[in-house]
Amino acid sequence: MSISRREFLKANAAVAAATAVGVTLPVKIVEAAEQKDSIKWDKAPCRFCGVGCSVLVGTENGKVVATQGDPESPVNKGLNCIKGYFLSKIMYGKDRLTTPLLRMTDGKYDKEGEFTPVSWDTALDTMADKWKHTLKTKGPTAVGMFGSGQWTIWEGYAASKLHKAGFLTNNIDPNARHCMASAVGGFMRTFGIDEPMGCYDDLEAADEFVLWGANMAEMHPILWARLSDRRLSSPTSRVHVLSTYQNRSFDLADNAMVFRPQSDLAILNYIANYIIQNDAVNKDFVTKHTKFALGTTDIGYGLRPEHPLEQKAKNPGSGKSAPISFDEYAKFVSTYTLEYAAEMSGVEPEKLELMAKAYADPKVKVMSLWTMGINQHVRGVWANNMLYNIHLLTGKIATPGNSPFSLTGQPSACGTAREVGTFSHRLPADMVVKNPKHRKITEDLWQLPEGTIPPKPGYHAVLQTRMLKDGKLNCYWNMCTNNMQAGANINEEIYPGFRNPENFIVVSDPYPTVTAMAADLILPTAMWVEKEGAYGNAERRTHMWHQQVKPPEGAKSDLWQLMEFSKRFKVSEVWPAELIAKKPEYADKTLYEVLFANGVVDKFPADECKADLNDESDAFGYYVQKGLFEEYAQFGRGHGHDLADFDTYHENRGARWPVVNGKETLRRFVEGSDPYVKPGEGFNFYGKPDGKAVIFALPYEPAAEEPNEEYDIWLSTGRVLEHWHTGSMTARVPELYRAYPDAQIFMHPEDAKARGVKRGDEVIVASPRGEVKTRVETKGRNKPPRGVAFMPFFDARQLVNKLLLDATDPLSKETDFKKCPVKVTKA
Amino acid sequence: MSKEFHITSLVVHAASKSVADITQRLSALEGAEIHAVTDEGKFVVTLEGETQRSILDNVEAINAFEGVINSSLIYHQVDPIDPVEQKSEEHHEH
Repeated sequence: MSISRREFLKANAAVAAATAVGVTLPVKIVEAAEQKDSIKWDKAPCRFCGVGCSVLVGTENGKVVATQGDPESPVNKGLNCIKGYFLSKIMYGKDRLTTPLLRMTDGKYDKEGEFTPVSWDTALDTMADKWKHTLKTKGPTAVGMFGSGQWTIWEGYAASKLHKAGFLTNNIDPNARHCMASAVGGFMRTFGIDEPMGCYDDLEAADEFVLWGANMAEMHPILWARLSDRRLSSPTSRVHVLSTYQNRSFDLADNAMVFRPQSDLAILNYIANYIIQNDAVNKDFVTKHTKFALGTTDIGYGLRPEHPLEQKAKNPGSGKSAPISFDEYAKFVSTYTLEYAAEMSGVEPEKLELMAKAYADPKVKVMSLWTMGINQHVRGVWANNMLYNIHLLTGKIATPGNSPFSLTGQPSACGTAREVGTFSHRLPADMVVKNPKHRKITEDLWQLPEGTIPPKPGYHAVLQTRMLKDGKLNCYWNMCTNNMQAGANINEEIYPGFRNPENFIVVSDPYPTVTAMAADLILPTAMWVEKEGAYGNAERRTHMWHQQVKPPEGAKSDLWQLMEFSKRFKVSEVWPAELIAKKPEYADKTLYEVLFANGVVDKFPADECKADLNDESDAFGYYVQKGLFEEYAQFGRGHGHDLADFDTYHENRGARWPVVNGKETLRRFVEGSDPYVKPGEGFNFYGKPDGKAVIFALPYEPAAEEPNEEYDIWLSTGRVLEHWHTGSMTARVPELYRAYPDAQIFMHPEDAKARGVKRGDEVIVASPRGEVKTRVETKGRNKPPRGVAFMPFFDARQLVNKLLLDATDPLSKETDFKKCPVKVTKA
Repeated sequence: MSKEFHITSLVVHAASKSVADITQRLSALEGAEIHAVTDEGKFVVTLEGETQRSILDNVEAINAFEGVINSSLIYHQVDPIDPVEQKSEEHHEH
C-alpha cells in the first residue's frame, strides 16, 4: 500500500469527523478525500437500538468493508456509538447459518434427533405438514409466532397478515412486548394514540432534563451526546438523573438520585402533589385539554391465575377507570408529601424538591426521558400515565423542549411492532382486533370476507410460553428474536414449552442462538443490508435502506421465508367452510395468492427498485417491499398516521409521521405543527373522541416480590454499551466481545464483603427459579447501593434472566426485569 | 494476524478548561492526529494502526483522559496492506 493511499484513507476519515462537528479542514485534506475509490456508499439505519441513527455503509467486492456516521442524518449528525461503528462486522461472524437444520434420526424428523442440514423445500414442507395437522386437529389457536421489534416494516406486516388473515389466529406477538408494551399502554390510556408527541429536537430546546431510570449514556449514546452538548453549551440547564443504582449517566448529573426499586410511583405522585400544592397547575390548559380519572387498583401481577399473588388480588388485570374531578385528583395525590416520597425512595428530600421545582416552574422547559426502568415494571402502564400526568398538569407538552419522551429499545419497535400492530391484540394504525369496525376496515383493505379476523386477542408473548408448556400452542415460529436468553423464568416456563413433545418449534436466525439450539427446525436468515428494509424509530421517523450485499448462500430473509411458507397452504385447507362460502373464489387459491399476489401487493414491477440488488423482488417477480408498504400505508393515511409515498424514503433520511402534503410533523397535538389540529384549537389530543388527554389517579403498589431473609438483594438485569440485547450480533464482533467478554454482577463492596466475597470472585446468584455462576464487580461502571445488584443479560453462558419471575404489568403484559430478589453466595 | 491498515476518526468533546491539556495528551498518542479543534472544545482526531486492538486501546485511553466528556466514533475502514500476503494468512483471522 502506498503512502498516498494511506493519506487518502486518513483524509476520508478526517473529513467525515469534521463534517459531524461542522468544521472545515484544509483544502489539501479535502482534495485527498475527493479522489476516487472503489468503495460504494449507501445509507442504512443502524441495526441496533431505537435511536435510529443513519450510517453510511461502504461495500466493496460484495462485502461491507467500511461504515461511517451519516452526516446528513438529522438524528446522529454524523456520529456513531461503538456498536454502530462496528456494524460492518455483524454479518461476518464465523458461525453464520447457511442451511436449514432439522432435528432428525435416520433421515426423518425426530424431536429428539440431531440437527441435520436439509433443503429449504424439505424445511418448509415439514413445517407446513406440522401446521396443517395442528390446524386441522386443534384449530387456529394452536399455531403462533413470536416476532420482533427488529423486523423490517414489511416483514412485520407480512407476518401479521399471514397469521391474522391467513391462519385466522391472533397468536402473533413481538418481542417488543418485553420492552415497549407498557409505553404503548400508557399512550393509549392517556392519549388514545401511540408514540411520542415530541421529537429529538426537544433535546436542543429543553432547559432541564429528567432521566427516569434510563441510563442514556450507555443505552442511547448518540442522544446522550446531543443532551451533553445542550447541557454544556447552556450553563443554566440542568440534568436530573434517577436510577436504582449509580451509572454512567450520573457523570453529567446536576441532581443525582438513587431511589429504592418501585418507589418511582411515589416520587411521580409527589411531583404531581407538589405542582398542585404550589399553585403551579396550568389551569387554562388543564380545563381545556384534559380530564381526570380514577384507575382501578390492586390489579395483580400478570402471573398464572392460580399463583397466590393473583388469587390475592382484588381486580387482577383490570384497566378500568372512572371519571373524577380535579379536586378529587388533588385529594388523591395529597398524601404523597415530600416526607413520604423521601421515606419511600430513600432519596434526600432537597433533591426531590429540586426536581419537582423544575416541573412546576412555568419558565423551565422540561424533557423527561425513560425506557426500560419505567416500562419493565409491574406497574409500567401506570408509571407511564403518571409521567404524562405531571406534564399535563403543567401544560408542558408538545411544545419545543417540553417533552415527555418515551425512548425506545429496538430499531423498529415503533415502526414495525407498534405501527404495523404485530401484537396479539392489534391491527395496523392503532386499531385492535376486539373492535368490529377495525376488523371491518382491515378486512376490506385486505379484500377478505367479513369474519376473517378473529375478534379475540391471541396469546401475548408471556402467555405463548405458558401455552407451549401447557400443550395448547403446538406450532410455534420464532423470528428475529432470542427469547430463550431474553425472556424471564426460562427453566420453568420457556424451555419446557420448547421441548414439550407435543410441540414443533421453528427458529429463524442468522446465528445459532440459545433459542435456535432449543428448536426443532432452524432457518438461516439474511440480515440488515442483505435485504431491503424499513424501520421506524422512537421519534416517529420512518426510514429505509436498499439491499447492499448478498446474504451468504443459503440464507434467506424473513420476508422470503414468510411468503414462501404461505404458498404451501390452500385456503380450503385452513379456512372453515362458512368463511369460504362468503368468498368461494378463494377456495382453491393459496394463502400466498390471497394475501400477497392480491393485485395490490404485486402491482409494482421489480424494475422500479433503484438498487442493484433485491433478492425478494427477483424471487417473486414484483417489487415486493413497495407493494407491501403501499398496501400497509393505506391504513394510516388520513387517520393521523400518514406515511409518505414509498420512494420518498429511499431518497431522504426518513421522515416523522404524520407526513401530510409532503411535510413531516415534529410535534403532534399542537396547533401550527400538527396538521390534524385546527386553527384556534391550541391543542387537540385527537386520539380521544373529546380531544382531551386523561390524567389518572393511581397509587403506589408494591413489586411482585421484595427481598426477604433468604433472597436478600434486589437484582435488575439489562444492557451494557458494547452489546446489543442478547449479544447474538455484537458478541460475534471480536472487538466488541473483547471490550466486554463476560457478564458480571455489579454490587456494593459492603454487600460483597458481607457475603465473604470481593471484586473478581466467583459467585452463585440464585432465585427460587435457578442459579447462574458469575463474577463480582464492585468498582465498575455501575455502582449499586447496598441491597441492589445489576447484571447484564448479553452473555449466553450466563442466562441470568432465568432467575426472574415472569411477573408482568397486568395491563401491558410486559415483564418486570428489574426487581427480582436473589441471593449471592461464594461459588 | 494479517497485515492491515486500520483508520478511524472520532470526535472528542473536552471540557473547555481542559482543551490545552487534551491537545497535548492526544498529540502524544501513537498513531493519533488532531485535524481540527472547535470553539466548543470538539477535536477532530484520526487514529491509525495495524490492528483494531491498538486503535481501540487508544480510544479507551482517550475516554479515560480527565476532561473528556464524550467521544464519538465516526469512520472506520480496514485496508489490506498487501492483498497477496493477506490471502495467505487469512486463516489466522478471528
